[in-house]
Amino acid sequence: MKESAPALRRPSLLKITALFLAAPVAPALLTAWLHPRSPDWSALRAEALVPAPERLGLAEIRSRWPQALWVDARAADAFEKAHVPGAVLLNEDDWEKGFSAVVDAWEEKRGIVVYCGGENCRASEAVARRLRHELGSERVFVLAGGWDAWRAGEGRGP
Amino acid sequence: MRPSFSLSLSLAISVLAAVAHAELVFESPELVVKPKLGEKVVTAEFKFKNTGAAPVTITRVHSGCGCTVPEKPPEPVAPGASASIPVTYKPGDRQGLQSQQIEIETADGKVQQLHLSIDLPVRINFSPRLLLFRGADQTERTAVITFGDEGKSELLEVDVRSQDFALVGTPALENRELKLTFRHVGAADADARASVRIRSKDSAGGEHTDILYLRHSP
Repeated sequence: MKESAPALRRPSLLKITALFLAAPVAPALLTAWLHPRSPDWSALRAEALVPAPERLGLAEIRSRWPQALWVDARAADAFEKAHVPGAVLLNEDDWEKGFSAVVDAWEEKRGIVVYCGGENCRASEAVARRLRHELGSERVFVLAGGWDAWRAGEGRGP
Repeated sequence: MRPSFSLSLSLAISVLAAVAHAELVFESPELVVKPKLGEKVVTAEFKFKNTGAAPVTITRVHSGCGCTVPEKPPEPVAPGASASIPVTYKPGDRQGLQSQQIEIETADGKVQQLHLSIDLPVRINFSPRLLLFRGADQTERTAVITFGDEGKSELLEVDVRSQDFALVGTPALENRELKLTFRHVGAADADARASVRIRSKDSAGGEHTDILYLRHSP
């Protein structure tokens, strides 16, 4: 009677997938560590951990944060023409000057609402993210719809 | 008319119509620039060719940020000719990877999107930049200041001018990090504010003064 050869065990699909995903990790880490022009990880890591700021509508801001400090992230000339009453100008064209003004005006219990021109501008999110990081506060929000939304809702009261 | 002939005719008409239509083909509609530390103005150029049969006039160029200024070619671009859209970007106090959309519109109403990424060096990073103290609590608080510039920045001075806050230890820049620890030593029932000036020099010889803010509330 012939003895049958032991059957070869086929690796499971899970193992193959895990191997497939793990294989590039070691070379990638080595490259990130040893490459002469690798990014400056230490400088980036802290800001990268800051979560994206929450976007709130005007009605929600008026009910949740009626005493909010408004921060205008548009260019200085747009701010000069018109802005939310009491707003502080802060954009990344001149961060130092604007940040100092925010520190002067802000009290810890107040929320901060940042706005830019409209729904599609990105400045408010960039400013809010950086403010969260530098103030160490999570109470920094973005006005959904920006200045356009403010003008549309202006005068309706809280 | 045989179906195959009519099909060929309509295909030929479509091709001719497409060729006659003004068409801008960009070498790359997405550009990435990586300026050096301290560069105040960054420029980029989106090169294109008019591959259509008609001259193209660019009627409008627009970016969503005042920091990014694209310029449209002053003259119409003839068929087969090449031209470019120069873009000037002023980083201001921005740091890290920035993304700018540029919209161009031609006389026939066609709109195209261009994308400019600017990988700005991170010179300094505060975590956090405002230290808050309350009441009689004398807990020490620390700000970690990380210098980019490939670790080549030099710390010149840490200037604390306040009777209400005391710096704990001697400040030193180690492994790109400067840790500044303070304790509130003023009256527990009084407001106090102070700014700490941190002077440093980058690898290009540029001197910077950055401010860390301290505040005490009763």
